[in-house]
Amino acid sequence: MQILAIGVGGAGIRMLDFLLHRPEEGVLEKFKETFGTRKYFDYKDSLTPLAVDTSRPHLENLKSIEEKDKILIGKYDAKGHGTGSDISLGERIAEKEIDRIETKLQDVAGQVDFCLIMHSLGGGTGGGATPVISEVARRVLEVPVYTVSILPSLEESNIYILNAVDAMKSVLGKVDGVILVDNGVVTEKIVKIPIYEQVNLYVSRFVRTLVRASVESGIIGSSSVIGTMSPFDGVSTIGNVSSGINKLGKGKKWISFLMNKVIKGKGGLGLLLNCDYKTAQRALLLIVGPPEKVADTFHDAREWLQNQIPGIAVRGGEYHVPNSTQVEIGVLLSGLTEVTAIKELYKRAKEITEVIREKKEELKVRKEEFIKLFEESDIEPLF
Amino acid sequence: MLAVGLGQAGTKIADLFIGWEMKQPVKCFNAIAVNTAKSDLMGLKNIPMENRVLIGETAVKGHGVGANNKLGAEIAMEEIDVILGAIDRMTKSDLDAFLLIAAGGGGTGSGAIPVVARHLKELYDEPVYALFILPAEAEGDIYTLNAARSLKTLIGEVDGTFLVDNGAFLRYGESVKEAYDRINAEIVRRIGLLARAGEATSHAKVGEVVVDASEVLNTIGRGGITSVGYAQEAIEKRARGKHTFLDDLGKATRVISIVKRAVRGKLTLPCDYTTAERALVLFAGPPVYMTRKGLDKARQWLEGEIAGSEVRAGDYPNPKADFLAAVVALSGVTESQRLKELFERAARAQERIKEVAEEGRRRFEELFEEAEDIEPLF
Repeated sequence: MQILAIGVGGAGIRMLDFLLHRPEEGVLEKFKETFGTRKYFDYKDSLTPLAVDTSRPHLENLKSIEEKDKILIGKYDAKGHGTGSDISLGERIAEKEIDRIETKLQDVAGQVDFCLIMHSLGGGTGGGATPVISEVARRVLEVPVYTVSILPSLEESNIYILNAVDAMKSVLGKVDGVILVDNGVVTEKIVKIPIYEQVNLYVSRFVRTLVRASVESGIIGSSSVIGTMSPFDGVSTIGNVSSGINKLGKGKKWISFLMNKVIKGKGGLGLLLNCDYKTAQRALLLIVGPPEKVADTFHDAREWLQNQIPGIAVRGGEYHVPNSTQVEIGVLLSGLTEVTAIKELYKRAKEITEVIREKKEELKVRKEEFIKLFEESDIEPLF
Repeated sequence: MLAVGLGQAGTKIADLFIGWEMKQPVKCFNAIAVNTAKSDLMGLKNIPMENRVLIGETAVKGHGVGANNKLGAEIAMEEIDVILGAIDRMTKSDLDAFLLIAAGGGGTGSGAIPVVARHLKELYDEPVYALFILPAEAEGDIYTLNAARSLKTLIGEVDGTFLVDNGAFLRYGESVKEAYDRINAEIVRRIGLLARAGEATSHAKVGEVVVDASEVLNTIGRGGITSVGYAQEAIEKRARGKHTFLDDLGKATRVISIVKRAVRGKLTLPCDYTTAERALVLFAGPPVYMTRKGLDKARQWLEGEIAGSEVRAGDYPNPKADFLAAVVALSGVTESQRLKELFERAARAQERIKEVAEEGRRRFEELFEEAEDIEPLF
């Protein structure tokens, strides 16, 4: 499995950074890898990284990405200081720098199976530059291009929410699939890790599991991912849960327990998106853990899923990791046509637009009054 | 940013910015000082000699223009090439913006600031901001009139103006001169914090919601005037460095209350903050005290309060800090009683000066009318 992983904008490049962290660093107790921290796996063999941003400080703060894999765009327009949440500036900058981006992508073209572009929908660079970059990537690489698009939670600023609506429209037409993850489903109440970090951790754990399962056991491959993501007839999302094997109890009851958790969110965080899971049309299901626990469980898990969602096509399998103390279930759901999160986002955006419209009239009047203070006063100007 | 200090107050403040800057791990200010008074220019401590520009030597011989800002403007216009030359030597490709600093009440700064602003806007693409100091009411009519005339001329020439009211920081019974040091320190702190938003350093952790310099520029740079609020709170000694006993709700409440104090407390320009079109909240302190939730709620509160809909918020984590602080920039404000009063007072002063001048002219003519019967010597 060869993936070109592109991070665009502050959130995107941080997610990419997480993806490439060595297992020994940056992995917190609750997210201990299923594979144990002693066994090192070099994800760079399968993941080709590229970090693109308009902010030099953001790029400098990355821990796991080499200089040659970073591109600072918009040096003239943004002076390395970011777009200030200005989505049209993000778009303009990307368009101006298309040649540079294309050249960089041409270096990796032909060696990758598919491309994952990680970005926030609400940011100036993440929202504005990503559609442009996606288009270029699709053209140059000739392999499927998917995004991991981060939805802002409804509590985030007006600017992000309006940007996100815009960005989503642009991105949808330019890629082969969209994996949506929602900042809003995560909470700091249960796990005391900042929300953004949590989203990054879940996504990176899922992708890493995917890569590792493919490389070490061959039970799945790029074609499994592409087959699950195609056709582009709906939105995709991911879920990832794990449990210590001593908490699983005897027998196979834990399968439905964990499946309930990952698909329905019963007993913890499930899918990273508020949606109607029953509208999913395809799934990629991975069960990872020690063979004595995990052997012959895929069949049960798939059956569970097919009972919940009749007609769903399920790919995947078991990835046996001897001596592991964790069991992990990772799922990629595709073809979702009923997504509450998107509806709520539009609703909130409408509210904000209404408020802005009301306020705009009043603002205009006040501005005119205020300018009179200067212009109409009898005070003589200096020149 | 390139700070261009003009006149006595302006050069002093620019000098302080550089002094403060020297203690920071990442540099973001350069400065030049422009004045007509040689002794003031020599008295600066931090701006290097080659960046100090004396103008108007022919006209006032290094002695200053004495609160005559019309003369200040004329000198600036005559010597604009000298000023621009000094600025040009300091501009590099990574310059984000110019910050012209002057007190409106004086002569040199007040007269030069709109002149320099206009020329910079013509020559450079980068935004030009002004940090303009209003004289306190106690300072007298001439200063008020100077400030009004200068501000009226300036406002159309820049991308945004920070207004600071000397009077806002005066304490009861204190003379303005005594307050200067305190006012200047307040300016440097508030504007300095805004200026260094987004600067990554090896000491500070990257903030969770990093506010880039562009966010600051997008808030203050779309015209109009900006007033800046500030509030801080010391962290209990025993809690410092360890996990605080405050739970998440407590931390969030604390963040919100500090932001509210910053907005409702002493703003650099007393004004109705609810008329702001845009706002920026920057929260600084040890990361363990700054919760996403707190910052979000503070931002939501401000979004509901102001006339506009753009509120940006970010954190500036500093693990070693022993206090929590919020700096709030309120931009596009359209209601300020203080500003109205300033202009009204200036208009009356202008009238009075005209009357006095008329009166004086009349009396002077009359004086020599009386002497018409007397024969001249030759």
